[in-house]
Amino acid sequence: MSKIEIKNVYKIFGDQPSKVLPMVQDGATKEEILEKTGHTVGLDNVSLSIEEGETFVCMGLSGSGKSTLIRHINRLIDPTSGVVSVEGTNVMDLDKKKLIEFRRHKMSMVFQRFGLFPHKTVIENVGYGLEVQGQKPEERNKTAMEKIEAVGLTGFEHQYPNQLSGGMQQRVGLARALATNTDIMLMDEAFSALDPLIRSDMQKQLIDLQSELKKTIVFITHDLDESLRLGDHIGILNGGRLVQVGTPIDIIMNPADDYVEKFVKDVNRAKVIKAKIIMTPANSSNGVDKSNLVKVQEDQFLDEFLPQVVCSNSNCEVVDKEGNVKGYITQKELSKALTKEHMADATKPKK
Amino acid sequence: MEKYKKFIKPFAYSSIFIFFIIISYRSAKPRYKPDHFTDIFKDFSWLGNWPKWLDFPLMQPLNAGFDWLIVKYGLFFEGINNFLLGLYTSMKDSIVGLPWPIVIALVIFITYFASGRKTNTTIMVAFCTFFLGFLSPRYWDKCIMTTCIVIIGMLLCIVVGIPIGIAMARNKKVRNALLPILDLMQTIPSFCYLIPGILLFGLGAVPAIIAIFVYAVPPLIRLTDLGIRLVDKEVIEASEAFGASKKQTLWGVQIPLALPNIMQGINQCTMMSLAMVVIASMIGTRGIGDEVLLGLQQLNVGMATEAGIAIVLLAIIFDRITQSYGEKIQERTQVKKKI
Amino acid sequence: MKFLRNLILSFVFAGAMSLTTTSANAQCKVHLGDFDWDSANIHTAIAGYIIEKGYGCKVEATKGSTTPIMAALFDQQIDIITEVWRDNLVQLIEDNVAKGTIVELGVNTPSSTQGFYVDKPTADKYGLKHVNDMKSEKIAKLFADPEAPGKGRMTSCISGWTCYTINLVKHKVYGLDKYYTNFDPGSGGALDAAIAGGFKKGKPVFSYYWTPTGLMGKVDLVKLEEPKYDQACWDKMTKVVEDIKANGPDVYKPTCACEYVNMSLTKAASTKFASNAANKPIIDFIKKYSIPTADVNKSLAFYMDESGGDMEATAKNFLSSNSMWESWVPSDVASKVKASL
Repeated sequence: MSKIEIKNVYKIFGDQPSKVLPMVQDGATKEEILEKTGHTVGLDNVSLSIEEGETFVCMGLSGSGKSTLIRHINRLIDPTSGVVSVEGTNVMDLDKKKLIEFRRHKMSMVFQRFGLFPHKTVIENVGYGLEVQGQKPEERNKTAMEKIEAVGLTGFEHQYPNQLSGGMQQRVGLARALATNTDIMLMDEAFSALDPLIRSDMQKQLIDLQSELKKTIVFITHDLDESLRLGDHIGILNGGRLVQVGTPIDIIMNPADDYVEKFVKDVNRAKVIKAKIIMTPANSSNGVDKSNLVKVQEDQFLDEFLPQVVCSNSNCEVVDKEGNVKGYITQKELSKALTKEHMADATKPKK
Repeated sequence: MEKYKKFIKPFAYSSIFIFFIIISYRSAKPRYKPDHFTDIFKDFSWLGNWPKWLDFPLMQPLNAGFDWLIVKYGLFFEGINNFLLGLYTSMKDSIVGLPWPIVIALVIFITYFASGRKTNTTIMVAFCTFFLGFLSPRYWDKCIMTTCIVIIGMLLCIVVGIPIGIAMARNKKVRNALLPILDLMQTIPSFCYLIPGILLFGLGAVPAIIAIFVYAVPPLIRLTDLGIRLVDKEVIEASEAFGASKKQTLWGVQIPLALPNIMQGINQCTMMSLAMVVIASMIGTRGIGDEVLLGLQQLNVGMATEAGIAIVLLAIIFDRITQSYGEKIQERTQVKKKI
Repeated sequence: MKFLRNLILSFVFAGAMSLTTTSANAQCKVHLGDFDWDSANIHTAIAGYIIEKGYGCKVEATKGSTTPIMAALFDQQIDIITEVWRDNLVQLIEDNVAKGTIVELGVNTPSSTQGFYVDKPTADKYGLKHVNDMKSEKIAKLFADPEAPGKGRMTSCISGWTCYTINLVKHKVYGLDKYYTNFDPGSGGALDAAIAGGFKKGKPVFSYYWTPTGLMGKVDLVKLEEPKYDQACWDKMTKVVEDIKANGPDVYKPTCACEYVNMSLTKAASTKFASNAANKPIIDFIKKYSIPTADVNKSLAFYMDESGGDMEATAKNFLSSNSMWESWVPSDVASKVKASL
């Protein structure tokens, strides 16, 4: 069973969504609906499943419905039709009380513009999820301090949010989401409002945290590089429709339509492809020159070891975390990998 | 069916309109009407001057309704009257009973802490307070009476207005229903409720308190509603996403963040209360407004102006205290965009 | 196109309208001055009706408060005023008569009274007839002043008016001040409302009041007896009153006090209007015009309760239910008026 299951979800904004629903189900486009009925289609027959422990990135331009989608998971928005289930529970079946319990213990959320409480200090903000659960101040401050430490904000706990920089504020947002220790974390364009350097820092911090915590993360972004870097799976939304779901490699090499194609055109492949994807497995590596090897981790992206390999004019030995040799990459393969044709060949069998 | 739907509303409205005209015709005195109603379609002279039969009979039912209110709910109004009056007299008597330097000290104390220990504000307010009595010793007690009425009127506004403002912000239907009533309260001439107020509550402080309520509560309700609706949507979502109940969101997030606006509303409310309590001197409410009225009635411009200055000083005192308290809160909660 | 059509239509309509309005070819025009209290309105309506229907003149009435309307009369802009509170304006009127700007036309309402009144049910129940009957704590309790514990309240005059100070002095002289507050209601409307509210709720009423007023025709108030009016006594009291008005209540000195003198409400016309020979019939009529207080009160009650706020209907009601007016005008005028009723 998947952790989160979304089945045939439609969301229509307007006065009489249920009346417009059949039209949408019959395949009318977003523009047609808006012109004819004045209703806005938020989501149009979206189905996907998210597995436990993975980072699922939902990507699309603004207005594509990605923020609407994420709000269905904790039911900040009710679907017009369809089912959203978390750990097998249909969220629409929850009554008021159960919904509150569900939000308190099952998932937490990080917001684009941080959503911090300006009248509360950092430590109060971080402890908010615990406060609404009714935890005592000493108890929740202890947990909050741990999380503040985890995101590297020690010393700022008694400041107010408006005294912090954007990056620091979002760390507070992240710490607040971590404090309730929920399995699922919803991140709505969490890093979009930050400048590129800080964004990259935060992404790294998230990857590091995730490698430890193994939470189920639903991450919304409009930035392809970010989604490729963070996502185990990526779903691409356009005009409320889910146009493609797949691994980063899937998306890059087999774009489902022109829309996705346009997105992936300018992607820096070296930043997306991991060593294990293009390596020749150890058991079929007879022809490889093993005299001059650079050791790389199987999960490393190409751009992380590319300069070293090219400068030393050597081949790569790919190892896993325990140091076992998994395969090899030759210089030739490496250069091929950075062109599209090769990619298509190399990944075809996986499809 | 769908096709005819758009005709329903115009049809309903026009039938109500015709019904009104028939009522007005039927209720008109025979001497104002043509002998037979068909005459109005033969003789069109009634198109010249507004005909006397075309007069919606609103006055009699209103009078009857008002009389019924007095008779039926006399005790109820008596209860309100006694409660507010008791509050007023005990408050007034206890402050009037204090030696004046203690009253000034009290004002200084309140201002100092309400303004967050701002010395300038405190000194200014202290001077204004001193000048009330300094202008004319007989103003001192009258200003205390006025202050007591304003404070009680304001408390009434706060107790009733803020919850209504919150209800409005949370429910669109409530807002749609209340907005026209607020408009009515703000535009209806004050004498329209001052005089009936006497019939219900008698002369004196209570009709003034009621008038203050009618006149000054709309801005407080509006600003409370606005303040709560202006709270960043994402902040509310954040609160909900972490499983806060409606109540927790309201008390923990919405109200604290709307507080600067609510304080602004209270400040406005105070200023309008003061304006009304001066007008209320015309219905026998004692206070500093008397002096203005007396000055005007005797065409004693100096007297009216002197009392007018006392009212301005009183307004400054109220304004500085409520305003500086609002500013103090605002400093804490202000969201500076620093990304 | 549509705009043009509307424009033409509106012109046609306006033309049709102008035809329907009666083009009364009035030879004479009378401008009446009216005040913002209802007894004056009644006289203006009745006199205006007779002038219009009986003499065939066009009547215009301008309503306002005392100062501007009197000023307009002195300025010859207003022709006739049918109710002048002469005793309140003695100096002003005498000056203008001397200057020759106005002509006095005699008494309208012979006796307008002022005094202390108690509602009839309470007066009967406790046998209250004289101001001295009020001097008891038991009686004072009936009229309890909620803002002055232990005292009763007499709703008094408005503090800007002289009668407020007169009442203040009377209270002291009569010894009422120990039991009652001399309560300033703030405005005439508030005083009326306080009395009306008391009757509506069936509560005891103790108030300064005067006639003729519309309210007097509706409620049953009993006037309390006071020491009989005496010029010397009144003059002595007036000195104290003037002193208090100028220097505050602390300068009160024991004095004599007596009831209010009955005032006569008079009529006046501008010299310009009165000296025009063509207006003589109207001046003669106004000179004779006089209605007793009781009848004015009755008409005011009719105006308030039955006419639905229609002054013209009230005037017609007066003219059809009384015959006193027939002696004010020549018989041909009287019959013209009768025919129009």
